[in-house]
Amino acid sequence: MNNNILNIKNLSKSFGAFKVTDDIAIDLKFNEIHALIGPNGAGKSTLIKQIVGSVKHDIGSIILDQEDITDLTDIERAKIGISRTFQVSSVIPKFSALENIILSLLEKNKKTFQLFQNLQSNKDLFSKAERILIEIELDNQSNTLASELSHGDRRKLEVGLALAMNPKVFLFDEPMAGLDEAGTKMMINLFKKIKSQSPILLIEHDMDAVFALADRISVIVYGKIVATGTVEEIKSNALVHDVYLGYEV
Amino acid sequence: MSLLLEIKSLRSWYGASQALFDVNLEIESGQVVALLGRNGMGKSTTINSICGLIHRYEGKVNFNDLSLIGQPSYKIAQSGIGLVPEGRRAFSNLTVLENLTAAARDGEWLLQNIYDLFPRLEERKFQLASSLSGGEQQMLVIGRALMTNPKLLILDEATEGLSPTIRSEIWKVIKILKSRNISILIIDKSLKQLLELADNFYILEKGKTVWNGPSKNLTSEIAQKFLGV
Repeated sequence: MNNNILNIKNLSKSFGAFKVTDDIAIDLKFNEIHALIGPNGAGKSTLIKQIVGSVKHDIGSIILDQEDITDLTDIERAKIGISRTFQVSSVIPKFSALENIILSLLEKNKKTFQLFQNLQSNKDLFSKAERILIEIELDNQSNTLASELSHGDRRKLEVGLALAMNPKVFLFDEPMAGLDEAGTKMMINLFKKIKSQSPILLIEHDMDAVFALADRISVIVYGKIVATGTVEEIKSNALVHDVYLGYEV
Repeated sequence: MSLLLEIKSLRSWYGASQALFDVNLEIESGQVVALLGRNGMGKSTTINSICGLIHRYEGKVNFNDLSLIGQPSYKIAQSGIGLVPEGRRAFSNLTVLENLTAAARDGEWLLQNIYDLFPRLEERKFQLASSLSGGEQQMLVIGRALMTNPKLLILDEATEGLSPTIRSEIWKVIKILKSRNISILIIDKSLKQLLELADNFYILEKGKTVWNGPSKNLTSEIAQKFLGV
């Protein structure tokens, strides 16, 4: 039908009199990173919540891989292939980095939580989890409790959890926040590699990372998309400089 | 200038696992000192140790000649350390005004000074902190720390997760604070901004201070070696 994996049309949500997203239309193509930027409080995270289904839209439609998911619950949407990370870390603190990844793999494979007791013998699951830890450069922290990881390392682990879910689309909400420069570089390389596996809708304030990664950028202000374009088009858009980028970029 | 904070051979633990092995750091009054290091090297643990938020730590942490080791965190705050923690942590169920006045102490910084620094906070003074944008919450938490009239302000990733325009607003404010001779210990990933601002730098690696010096000595080789930049 078209080359979009995700199509969002006319999506709106109000909290009382406040329109947090207002007639949003955005799409995500195969093999693409589409960045969503905008001021703090513009509605970016709420849009992600509407896509995953944790916030119900008032009107609009969401099509994932040609399937209308508008009326599905958040759990149903996760099962058919939407995976997100959070602005604030959401790993399980009392589990090690490896156990967190394994839990995500179990969830993907629809195994029950009880099976976790017998995992020592499941070499396949362990080696998959270890490969993911190597990919996110956390293999040296494999047995560290998530609660004892640094803030930046917890962000890496979150991306690892999303990788384990092997979704149809990745929704990453500020994955670079708290990462050092080397961590950001690692994440940029990782995203470039995984976008062909599953396209990425990326919310990020690190403009160097956004400009290095994005195939397209949409700018959201007061709940409305005010511009969509390539990196060069957005960089040369005066309105975007006024409302978001400032004049030092 | 007099020595405000002196840390020697600081060692800290989370449960059985040791996170800091030998951290050494000094801040003189009026100085801005930047604490650098890759993720997981002990920067936030150092700050948590200074503020009494770690259960087990040893070594010397003297603030204004007072030993902070073993002191409860509220006493450390009362001794004049204002913390702007990683992840903002405004009191979400309190209004802006309540956040600013809840822990205020007498001194140069009054409510109006904070409103002059961040006019948006005055516009939103009766709003709940939870209803503020991320940038406004960060302004609120900086304002809350200043209202305690600290002798040392600690900023842990104060520009993280902010839009470019808000980030430059926060950097402008940090420069204003420096111009008013406020002592600051800062952790931030924006090395470019820190190089313009900080008087002295300390680099941590695997829980140890491995380098310190002024910005002119922080060569690209050192940045590459310890920070991967």
